[in-house]
Parts: sequence; structure tokens; C-alpha cells
Amino acid sequence: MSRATTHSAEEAALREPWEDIARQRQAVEMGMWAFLASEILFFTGIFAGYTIYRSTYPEAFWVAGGHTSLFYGGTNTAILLVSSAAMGIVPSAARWPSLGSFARTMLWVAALLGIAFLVLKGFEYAEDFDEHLFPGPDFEIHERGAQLFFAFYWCVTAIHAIHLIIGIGLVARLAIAGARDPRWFSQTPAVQATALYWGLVDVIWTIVFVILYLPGRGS
Amino acid sequence: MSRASTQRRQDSQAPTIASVVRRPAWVLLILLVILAANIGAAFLPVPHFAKTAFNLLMAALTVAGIAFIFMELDHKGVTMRLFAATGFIWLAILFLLIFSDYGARS
Repeated sequence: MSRATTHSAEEAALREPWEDIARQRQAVEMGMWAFLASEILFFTGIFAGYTIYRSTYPEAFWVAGGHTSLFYGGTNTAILLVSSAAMGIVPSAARWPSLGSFARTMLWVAALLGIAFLVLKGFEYAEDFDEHLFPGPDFEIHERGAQLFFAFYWCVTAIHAIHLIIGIGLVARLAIAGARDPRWFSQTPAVQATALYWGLVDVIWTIVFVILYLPGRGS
Repeated sequence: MSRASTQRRQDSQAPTIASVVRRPAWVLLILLVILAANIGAAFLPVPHFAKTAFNLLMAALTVAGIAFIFMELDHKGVTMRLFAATGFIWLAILFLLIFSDYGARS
């Protein structure tokens, strides 16, 4: 990209109050990490509650964990990892105009994988309802404390799904806006910010998978 | 030099798709192997505590792979890494306080 083209691309991406794009990019990234830290704290409260109740009802949590679907959980974990890898390519590719359309394709790949995750989650929820795994009078497992495990299961997976839906919206918006204005797309810090948000969604799921889907397997 | 020739020269400096994809693809492969190992380990006939500890360790490795490679923390300076670590530091403090309480109960 020539200097004049680079300059006009930077101008297209520059927002007040920043005077240059490098400073804006640094500020956006730092702000995004601060936001992600607050998100981690939000989920930490739930994970802390899970830990306390798991130490109170260790056997019930182990038995209840065996009732979650390892097929859906494992497949969705793999799907999110692939989507994160696709998203991880985007910031380094987007800054080169010759790779701009490839970067936007990777955005759509990540968004579609996110949708695939939600579709599988829907099938999993339907199966869970069929097996009476929603806490209440018809709950399937009679071990004391098992309902608490599934209370965490429904809360955490639903909150995570909401985060994922927001992420899909952000990614699609970036891909569409980038196709409309490729100059803006090559310089905007929104690319990095969106990639960071998507990474967090995967980080949270990695922990969720281990604490909700892996207990209770084997002998 | 004309603008068109400058454009061509700059475009020729751009990385290829293969060079951009290579590292994330290798890391993805490693993370998928870790996932498979984690699922396999969950079925081993070992004490629950050992299985959980191994599963959490593998999760920590996966989180590190995502943060450092997919979220590009490996390219960042100390300040940015400190910002990124903030959430995990608070998480560690919270869990330390929880376990110092519950661990000390008779």
C-alpha cells in the first residue's frame, strides 16, 4: 500500500480523541483486555460457587457430571477451537489489503462455526429436557446436590451462549463493514478488539467443558 | 516511482496466506490433541482428584495456547500482558481466599 493510501486508510479508521492510529489501536486493545478481565471476574463468581458446592457434594456432582452429553460438549469444544484459530488469523491478515478478503472469509468461517455451536447446543438442550435434567420436581437424578450441578450447568451454558451470540453479531458486523470499506478494515482496531472478545468466549468454554462435561466418566 | 509501482512493491511484501495460516494451524492441531487427551483421561481408572487435576491442567494449557497465539499475547509488551493477566490474578486471589476458608474448616 502506498504512503498516501495508507494515510487515507488510517484517516478512515481514526476516531476522536486519538491523534494517531497507533495510539488508538493500543488504547482499544488495552481497554478490551480490561473489559475481558471484568468478564473473567463475572464468570469467576459462578466458578467459585461451583467449586464450593462441588466440595460440599462431591459425589452428587460426579454422578450428575456423567449425565451431561460428552458428544455434544466435546464436539462444541472442537468447533470453538477451530473458530478461534480462524479468528486468530484475522488481525495479522486484515492489515494487508491483498489479504483483506481472506481475512473477511475467516470472519465468516468463525461466525458460521459459532452458529454451528449454537445449533448443537439446541439439540443438546432438547435431549437434556427429554431426560428430565432441568432442576425441578421431575428431575431425573435423586442424589442430593445433583440439582445444584444442573443449576450451574443451565446458567453457565446459557450465559456463555449469550456471549457467543453477541460475538457472532460483532464478527458479522465487522465482516460486512469491512467488505463495504476495505481501507477502514485494514486499519481499524475493531478487528483486534473483536478477535480478543472471540478468544475470551473460547477461553470460558474451555473451563466450562472441563468442569461440567468431564466429571463422572469411566469407573 | 509511480503510485502503481509503489503499490505493487508494497503488495509483494505482504505475507502469503500459507505463512499467515501456518502457526495458528499447528497450534490448533496441538490444542485438538490436548482436547482428545483430556477426554481420554476422563475415562481412566484413577482417583477423581487426579483426573480433575489433570483435566484442569490441560484446560490451563489450552487457555494459554488461545491467549498467547490466537489472541496474540506473544507479540505484546509487558504492560499489555499485565492487563491481560489482571482477570486471572483476581481469579487466583478469590480462589485462594475460598480455599483458605473451606480448607481450614473441620
